[in-house]
Amino acid sequence: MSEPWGISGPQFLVLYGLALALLLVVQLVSAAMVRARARSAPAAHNGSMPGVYQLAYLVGGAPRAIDAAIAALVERGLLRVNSYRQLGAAGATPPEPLERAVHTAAKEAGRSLTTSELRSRTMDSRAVKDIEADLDRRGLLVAEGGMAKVRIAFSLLYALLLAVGVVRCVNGAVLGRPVGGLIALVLVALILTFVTYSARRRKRRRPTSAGEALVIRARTGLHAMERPEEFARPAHGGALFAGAAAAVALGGLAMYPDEELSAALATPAWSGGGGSSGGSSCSSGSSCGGGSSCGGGGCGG
Amino acid sequence: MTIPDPAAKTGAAAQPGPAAQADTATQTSSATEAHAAPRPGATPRTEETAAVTPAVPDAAPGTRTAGTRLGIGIGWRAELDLSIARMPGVDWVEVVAENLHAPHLPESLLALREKGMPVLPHAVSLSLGGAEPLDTARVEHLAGLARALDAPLVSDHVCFVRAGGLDSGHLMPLPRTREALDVLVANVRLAQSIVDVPFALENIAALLEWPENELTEEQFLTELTERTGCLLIIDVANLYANARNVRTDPAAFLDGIPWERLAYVHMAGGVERDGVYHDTHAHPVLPQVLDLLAELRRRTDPPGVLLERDDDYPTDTELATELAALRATVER
Repeated sequence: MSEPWGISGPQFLVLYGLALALLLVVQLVSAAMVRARARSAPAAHNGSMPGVYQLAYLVGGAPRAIDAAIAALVERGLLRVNSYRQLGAAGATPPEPLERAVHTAAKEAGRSLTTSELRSRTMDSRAVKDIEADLDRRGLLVAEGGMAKVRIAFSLLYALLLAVGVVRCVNGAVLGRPVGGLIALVLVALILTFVTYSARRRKRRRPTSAGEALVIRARTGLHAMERPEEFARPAHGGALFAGAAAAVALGGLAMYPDEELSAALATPAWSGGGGSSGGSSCSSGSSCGGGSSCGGGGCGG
Repeated sequence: MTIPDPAAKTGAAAQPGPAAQADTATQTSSATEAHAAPRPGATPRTEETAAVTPAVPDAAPGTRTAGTRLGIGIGWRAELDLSIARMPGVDWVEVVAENLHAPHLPESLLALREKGMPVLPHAVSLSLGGAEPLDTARVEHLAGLARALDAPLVSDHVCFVRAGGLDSGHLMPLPRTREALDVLVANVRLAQSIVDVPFALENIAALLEWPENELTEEQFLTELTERTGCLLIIDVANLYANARNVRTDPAAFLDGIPWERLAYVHMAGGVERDGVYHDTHAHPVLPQVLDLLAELRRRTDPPGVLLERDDDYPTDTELATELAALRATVER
């Protein structure tokens, strides 16, 4: 009885497994090399500190930059957070581009937003892109360049292996051969295809080593502010490191200097940032409220 | 089209005599109660003595039941809960009764209660002026809330919101006829029998006047208090709105109100568009409305003044500034 495709089951299994492993190794090594080269790329920046939102971006990408802006607005009273973890705009829109984007998003929402809702509504703003472009210009972010295309190529190769495995599997099953081991490897191929493809665009751009150095300098500066006896003077000028924006830029919303507000701003892990927990009892309507549920605005309440 | 300026009108209105002035001046110190440090020269006062406010010369001593000295307050809204808890100059809050349920009160509101801050439920849906039988379930809800919050009084409006099974979603003005008053009085008495604390009723802003009106608004309110023993919440922004929109005389209104029945005062912002004043609760308090509060203050020392803001919230600083302006107007 001839073997399908002229190759025995165990032989195919070994070859298939080796092909998958080889592809994975090549992918990881090439990614590491590209990253190492990009990270050590000469920074075009002149050593001066970027703005606090640029710094936040280096620490935690666009979401962190937006969080820092949220913190600055909350501190200045231009964003209000309540105990239901909802944010609402207050007062006049500030001029700084990212703050403006956040404030406008909150204002135009027409309702209170959670931190994560506000974040996602600001992610694609011009201000965020400008910060990214500015950091790119300074050579502080690892160049994405052709990385997306390379990742797509790898995912196509995984998909090819996946297809071969599936065909062999079906063929084997039709011929009544054992296919358990192959099914396991096909599943591995499926996962690698999916992971590589979905990671084709990095959600968060990494800082170059020059960028990381800036972050470390900023952290030292913040440290210096907290422990003046250890440091003669703050390394980089106090203004940058003062306030809620700097604390949140480096440490996230959990580091907002006011505990109560920090708790209200931080998105609870379990909610996934989705629905409002309990929400405003005002907007949720009331079983016994009847008509003017919300204080009779405009009607003489 | 010329619109009469109520501020100008009220400016020429009754001036209290020097005796009344001096009398009211001694009343102002207690308004902030325990929430403010005692001021130099302020006479220490218990709540009881402060409650008997003979600020109005013609008020019979001892008839004052509008007891509780509240001070300056703000309408509690879920959106503002942390702001209100941290804002300087907030002596008490009012909550919209329909938005809350006694067994599930918001943590932030309970925290205010624990600090000893009065929380007063204010209903908008009882439709006490409605011709249909009073929905006592709504009154019981209000009563339950008052118990849960240990509130000194509860309130709703002189209006109807439902008729013929339809809910207007607005507070609709009543025709000020004897017949309508009889209905209102019956409903208020029923509501009073359900709640355990004094009941107060608030004047609303009307965009229209019923042609069959037999009584002025102040006569209507006075008779209502006489027949039911209820208290009054005077909404100065609504008074201003009526002066602008249906040309009532705010000075005559202020002269005709039985001030010994005053529970507290509502203040709110609004905006004038196309010659109509809109009581939006989403704009700053107009200087003219503040002037009208000063006019009211010449007649009585209000036990409490409440700022209502329901939308388009300003910064905490702006809200605190508005509260300070209210305090400056009444605590002279």
